[in-house]
Amino acid sequence: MKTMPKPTYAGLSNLTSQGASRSTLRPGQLFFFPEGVLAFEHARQFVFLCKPETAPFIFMRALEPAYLGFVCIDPFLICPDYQPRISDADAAFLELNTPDEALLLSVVNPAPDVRQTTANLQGPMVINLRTGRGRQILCENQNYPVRYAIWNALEQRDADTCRTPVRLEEPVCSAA
Amino acid sequence: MLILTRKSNESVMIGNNIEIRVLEVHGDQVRIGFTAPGNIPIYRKEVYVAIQQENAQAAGQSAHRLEAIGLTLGRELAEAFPNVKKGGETEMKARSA
Repeated sequence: MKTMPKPTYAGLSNLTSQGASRSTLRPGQLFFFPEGVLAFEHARQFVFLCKPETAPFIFMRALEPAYLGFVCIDPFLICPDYQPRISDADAAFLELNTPDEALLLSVVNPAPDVRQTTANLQGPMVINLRTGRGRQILCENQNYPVRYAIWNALEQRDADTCRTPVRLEEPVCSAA
Repeated sequence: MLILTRKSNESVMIGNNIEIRVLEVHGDQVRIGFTAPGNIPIYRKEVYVAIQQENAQAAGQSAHRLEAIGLTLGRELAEAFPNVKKGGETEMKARSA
């Protein structure tokens, strides 16, 4: 297993800042998962729906069976250090020439208490925006959680952001 | 289940293009090498099962229910973390533009 040339992938969070935004998710674009997804091997075709009222959550809907769908989220939005490796075999299967062609989405497992809602970082959905091929990959040899608590992660991030100004003010306080 | 005995560096062929080679035996650990066409994914079973179960649990039972869950999650997240929600909306606009 070898890593792709650059271990970063065009998550939704950085698409706007990159040239890759020209090849982003087009409304109605159909994605073909030749093997289906784990536990739903017969679901091969999916569309991804981005609605402002559900942002940053994205729907992954199967064409057949029509009832099947997942809520997804951009993993880079909730885990800034996320660096999943895509194996050569997966990259070849997905017909990926460059990391920019790949869009990664984590499947969200909604909990009755929304604060317990988790995202699967171990097995992200990877789609090729250019060719429309998709596969759920497993990040072998990388210990990412299958259940990554979204709310906890964002709270932690906010706490880190809030602490920074306090630290900056400390010298000012002691000088006064 | 077919059971074969192999030593280090001995292989088993499955069909014409899948080779499974025992590389090293060390106590109760075995290192195994796989050669297979790219369209055949190879997983550790416990990871495979974990993802399978997670997908089954995360899957929406109906489009309507999925939509409702998405709306609730989106609203709750926007209330708790306004910055994240705003970021999401900006991206949506950029993408539809």
